[in-house]
Amino acid sequence: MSSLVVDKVSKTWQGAKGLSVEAIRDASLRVSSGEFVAILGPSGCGKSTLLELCAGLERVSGGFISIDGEEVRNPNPKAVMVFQEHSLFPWLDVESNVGFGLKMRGARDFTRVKEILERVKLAKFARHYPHQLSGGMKQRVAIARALVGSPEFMLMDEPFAALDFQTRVLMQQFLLEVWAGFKSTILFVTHQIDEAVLLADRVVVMSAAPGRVLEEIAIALPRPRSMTDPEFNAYRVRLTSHMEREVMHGAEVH
Amino acid sequence: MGKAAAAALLPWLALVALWELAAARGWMSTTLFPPPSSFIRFAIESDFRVGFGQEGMTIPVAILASAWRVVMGLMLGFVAAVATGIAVSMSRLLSAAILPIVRGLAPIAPIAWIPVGIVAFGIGNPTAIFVVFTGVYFLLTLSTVAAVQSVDARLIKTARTFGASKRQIWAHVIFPAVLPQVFTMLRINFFAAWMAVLAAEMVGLKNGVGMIVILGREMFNPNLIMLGICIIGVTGYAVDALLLLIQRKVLWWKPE
Repeated sequence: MSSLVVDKVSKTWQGAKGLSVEAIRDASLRVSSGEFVAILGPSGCGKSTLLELCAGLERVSGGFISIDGEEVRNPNPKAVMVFQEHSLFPWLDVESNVGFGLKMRGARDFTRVKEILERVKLAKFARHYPHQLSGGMKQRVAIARALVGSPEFMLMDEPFAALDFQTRVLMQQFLLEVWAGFKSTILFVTHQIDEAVLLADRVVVMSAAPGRVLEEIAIALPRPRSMTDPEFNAYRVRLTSHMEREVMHGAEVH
Repeated sequence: MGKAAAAALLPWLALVALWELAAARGWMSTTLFPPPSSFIRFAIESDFRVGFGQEGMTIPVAILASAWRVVMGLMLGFVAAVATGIAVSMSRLLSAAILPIVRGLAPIAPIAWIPVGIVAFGIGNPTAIFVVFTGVYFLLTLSTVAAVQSVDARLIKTARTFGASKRQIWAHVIFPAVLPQVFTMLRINFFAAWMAVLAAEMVGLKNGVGMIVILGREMFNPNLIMLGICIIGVTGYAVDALLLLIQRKVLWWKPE
């Protein structure tokens, strides 16, 4: 059982001319093996920052983040980020994009790349370049690239925000299949309530900036879930009222 | 491609036809502006040779000489500029020491370097290559620095999350990301470099296609002048087409 623990974490960005911006204040959460956790919050609430802290891309200003008891200070193969669109290297084909992490670690054997491409049904596109793929396909490649290193945590930063509705629905389905098939653990940032309720076991609601954890709501709905289910709607209503309050609160502050 | 080539050729054919017509009807002086039928016949009759004695050369050799100079200069300038631009971007000290100098030298037109080249390297290929090199090197160094700064932060974060070291990020992300942009700048600056090579040939090197025009002037031969001008245009066009081909087939990627 591995676990990702965020303990009273805060992050303040030091800007130019001594200006500083408090992005996150006293946020705590815990993600265990096999969970699908969504972080929901208004734009600019520091949820992406929180993810980058978990990935070791940035250092915390206060508090502590650990994976399996070990403090996260640098990027590490146990927790890999998947960004919004446009994070594929445009000069590499699908195969080389997916093999990027292995190559950086000096691997010689790339059979794992072929295996992953087969499993996510991308084998036919191994030699395609990103500009030859649709938005949804690109995100599948980005997810495949994260899966290659068998990370314990996939940290996903609004990965489907730039996709059109239809593609997003398909990708959400795809992600659930990946999650079940690879037994991954996913921490997923989104500002869309439906997406959070549809995907997650647990939704962590964050406040407007500086981001704090307001509430954690377990989504006790069986899968596959349907957005038209009345119980689904109950969660949606509950989270919407939270979000409205935070958006209004955020607007007052600014 | 066939269609595009035809579309590019058509206006030229029309221009040549008009030129020939004007010459045949006596609308303009064929002594001053001999039409293609005249100077091409002249080239064939003189067996594609121009000049006498030491200044004598065949036209294909002249074309190759000029094209070689400009291509070598561009290539060396590109490689050196990317290397310098990246080195400067990696180190604050280097950037503080070198960039102000590069900024001061970049606005100098390639043609201005001709006397410097002749003094430093004498009369020959090295001078022409030097002129092209200096003509593009400083500009491309600056554009490499600018390109490094505009590399998409998401690509760098992606590389970091997959465990790339600083050195690997430079080699596997920043380097490939900046190449197309710098190469585009190279293509834009090619024309200035090409003009500089011709000027160098006219004033000092005494060979290459630039010299064909000067020989025409010295021998009061308008056919030779027009022939030289047309060869300059066509050769320049061909090198630019080669650069475009490299841009499209080798360094084709753009930031998404």
